[in-house]
Amino acid sequence: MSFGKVVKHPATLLLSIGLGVVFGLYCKTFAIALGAIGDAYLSFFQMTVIPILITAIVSSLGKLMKDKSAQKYIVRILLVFAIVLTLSAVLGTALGLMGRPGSGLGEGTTNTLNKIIKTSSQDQNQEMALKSADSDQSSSKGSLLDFLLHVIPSNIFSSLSSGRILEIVFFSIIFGIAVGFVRDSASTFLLDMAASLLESFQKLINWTMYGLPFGLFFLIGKQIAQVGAEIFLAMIKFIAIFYLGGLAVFLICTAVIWIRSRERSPLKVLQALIDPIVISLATRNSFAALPSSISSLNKLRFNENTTNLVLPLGITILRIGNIVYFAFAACFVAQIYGATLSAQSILLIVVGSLFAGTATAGSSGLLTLPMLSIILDPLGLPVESILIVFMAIDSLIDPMRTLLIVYGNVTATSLISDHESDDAGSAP
Amino acid sequence: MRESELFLKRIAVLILYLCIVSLSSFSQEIADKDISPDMSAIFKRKQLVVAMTASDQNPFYFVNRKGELAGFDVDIAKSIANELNVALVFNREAKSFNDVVSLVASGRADIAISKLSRTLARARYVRFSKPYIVLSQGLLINRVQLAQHASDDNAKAFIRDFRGKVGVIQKSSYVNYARENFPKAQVVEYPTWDEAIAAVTSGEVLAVYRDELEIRKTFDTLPNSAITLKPMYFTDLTDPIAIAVGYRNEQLLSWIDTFLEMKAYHFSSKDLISQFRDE
Repeated sequence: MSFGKVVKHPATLLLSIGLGVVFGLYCKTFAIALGAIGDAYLSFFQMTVIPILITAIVSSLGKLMKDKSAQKYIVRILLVFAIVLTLSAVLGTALGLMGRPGSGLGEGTTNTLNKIIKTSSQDQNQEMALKSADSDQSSSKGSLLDFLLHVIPSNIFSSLSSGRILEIVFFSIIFGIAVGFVRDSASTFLLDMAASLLESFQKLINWTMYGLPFGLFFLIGKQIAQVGAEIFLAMIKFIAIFYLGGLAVFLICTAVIWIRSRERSPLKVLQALIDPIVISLATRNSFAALPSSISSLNKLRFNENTTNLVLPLGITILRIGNIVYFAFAACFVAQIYGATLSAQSILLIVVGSLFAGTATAGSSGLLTLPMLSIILDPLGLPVESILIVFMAIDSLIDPMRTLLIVYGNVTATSLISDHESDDAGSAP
Repeated sequence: MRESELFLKRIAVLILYLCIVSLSSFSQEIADKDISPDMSAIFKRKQLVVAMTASDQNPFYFVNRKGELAGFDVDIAKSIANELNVALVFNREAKSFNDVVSLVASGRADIAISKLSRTLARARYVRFSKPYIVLSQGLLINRVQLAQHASDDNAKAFIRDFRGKVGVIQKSSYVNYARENFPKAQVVEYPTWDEAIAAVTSGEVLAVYRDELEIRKTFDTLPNSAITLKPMYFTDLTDPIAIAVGYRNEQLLSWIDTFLEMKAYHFSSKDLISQFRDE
C-alpha cells in the first residue's frame, strides 16, 4: 500500500482518534499546549469553506436554472427539508421524554451541578440598582424577526470578511439564480469559472486530508484534556442518552444512504463517508466537514450538481443536531425543575426547538447555546442556571451535534439528488 | 550647692503631694455629682445587660461547637463591658428583632447588639449608634417562578416593578423595607428565616428579602439552592446595622459611638462571610 492509502485508510483515522484520547487523558498540559497544532490544521480547513460554499451554490444553482430542472428540485428540497426538520424536533423531544435524562438524579449529581452554577455564575447578573434603570446594559438577544431580516447583507464583502455564513448563503442563492437568467454566451464563462474554482478548492482539501490523522490526534487530545472529570461524571446520564439517540439516528441515516446509493454493503457507504464523520467529530464545526462531505457524496455517485447546491444549503439552515439537542435539553430542564409537561408544552418544545435550532444557522459551538431560551422562555423555565451546566459539558456534546448536522444533511442530500445510475428525472 | 539641691527636692515632693491630693479630690467630686445618671446606674449595678434575639444569627451571635456564645456582636459586647469594667449579662428573651427593641425601650436591657437594622420606626423608641456594619440588601428568587414572569433579559426590569409575593421575617426591618421598595408586592411574614427559605424553595412566594450576607450564607448551607434559587443583590439599598440604646441612656450612646470609632469597628459583608465560612 502506498503512503497515501495508509494515511487515508479508515483504520488509520480510528487509530489516531484512539491515540488522541489516550494523549489527552494522560498528558493533559502537553495535550493542551500542542492543541495549537490541531487548531492550525483546523484553520487550514476553514480557509476554503467560504469559497467552496459560494462556488458550489452559484455554479450548481446557475446550471439548474439553465436546464429548467430547478423547479423540480426546489419542490423536492422544500419537501425533504420540511420532513427532516420536523423529524429532528420530534425525535429530540421523544428522546428527552422517554430517556428522562433529568429525573432521578442522585445527590452527588445535584451537588456537583449546584457547585458549578454557584461558582460560575456571573456577578453582573446578580447585582443591580433598584432605583435607577440607566446603569443596565440590556443585552439584545435578537428575536426571530430580527434574525430573518439580518439574513440580507447590506455589504456582501463585509459579510465575507467577517464570515457571516447565513448572509453569504443568501447572497450566493440570489446570485446563482441571477446567473441562471443571464444569456448563455455571457454566463458560461462565469459558471465555468465557478466550477473550476470549486474543483481547485476541492483539490486543496483532498491534499489536506493527508494530514488528517495528525490533525485529529492533536484536536482530540486537546478536547479530551479540557473536559472536567467531575462535571462529566455528574452529567453522564444526560450525555449517554444523547449519544445513544445520536447513534440510532446515525444508523438509520446510514441505512437510508445505503439504499439510495445502491452500494453492495453498508460498510462501503461508511468507508466512503469516513472523512466527514471523523472531521465533524474532531473539529466540532459542521462547515469544516462540508468539502469532504461533497467529495464523499460524489464518490458515492450522487448527482454532482444537486449535491453542490443542497449540501451547503442544508448544512447552513438544516441544523439537525442542534434541533435534536435543544429539544432534548429542554426536556432535561423541565425534568430538573419538576415541571409537568402538558400536551401543549410538548408541542411548544417541538416547535421551539425547530426555531431555536434554525436560529443557530451559520454559527457553531458555545455561541449557539443561548438560543435555548427560545424554547424555555415560553415554557416558563429558567435558562441562566442550567445554561452554565450545558456550557461546561458542551465540548462533549458538540461532536455528536455536529455529526448529526453533517450526517443528517448528507442523508437529506442523498434523498434529493438523483443517483447517477438512475434514469434522469425519476422520483425519489 | 548641697543646700539648693535639698531645696529643689523638697519642692518636688511638695508638688507631687499637691498633685495626688488634688487628683483624688477631683475624682471624688466626679463620682458624686458629675457622672450622668445612666452611666452611674450601670456602674452601681456593676453589670451591662445586652439584648439579643433568641435565635442564633451566625456569624453575629451563635452557640459554637464548644457550646459557647460567640460571634461578631458577642465580641463587641464583651469589649464594651471590659472597657466599662462591668460584668456582661445577655438577655435573649426576644423572639423577634422588634422585641429586642422593646426590651431596650422598656429598660429591661441597657443596649441591644443584635444585628439590628437602623429603621425610622425603631428610632421612635430607641436611640441608635453609628452603624458598625453596612450590609447590602438582596432578594433570593425562585428561578422557576421568575421564569414564568420574565425572561433573563428583562428580569431586572421585572424586579424593579416587583409584583407577586415577597417573603420576609416577621417583625424584622425587612417588613418596612419591602413595603417601601416593592410597593406593588404582597408582603408575607414568616416567623423564621428557615421557614421563609422553605417557602421560596417550594414556590409559595416568588422571592424572599433580606441582607446580602444571609443570602450568601443560604447558598453555602442549603444543598441545591443554586439550581432552584437566584440571588439578586442591590447596589443602592443598604441595611445599616447599629447598636440600640434606651432613650434614657444618652451618655452611654455617646460613649458607644466613641468606642466604635476608636476601635475602628467597621466591617464589610465580605469580611463577615469569610469569617462565617471559616467557622
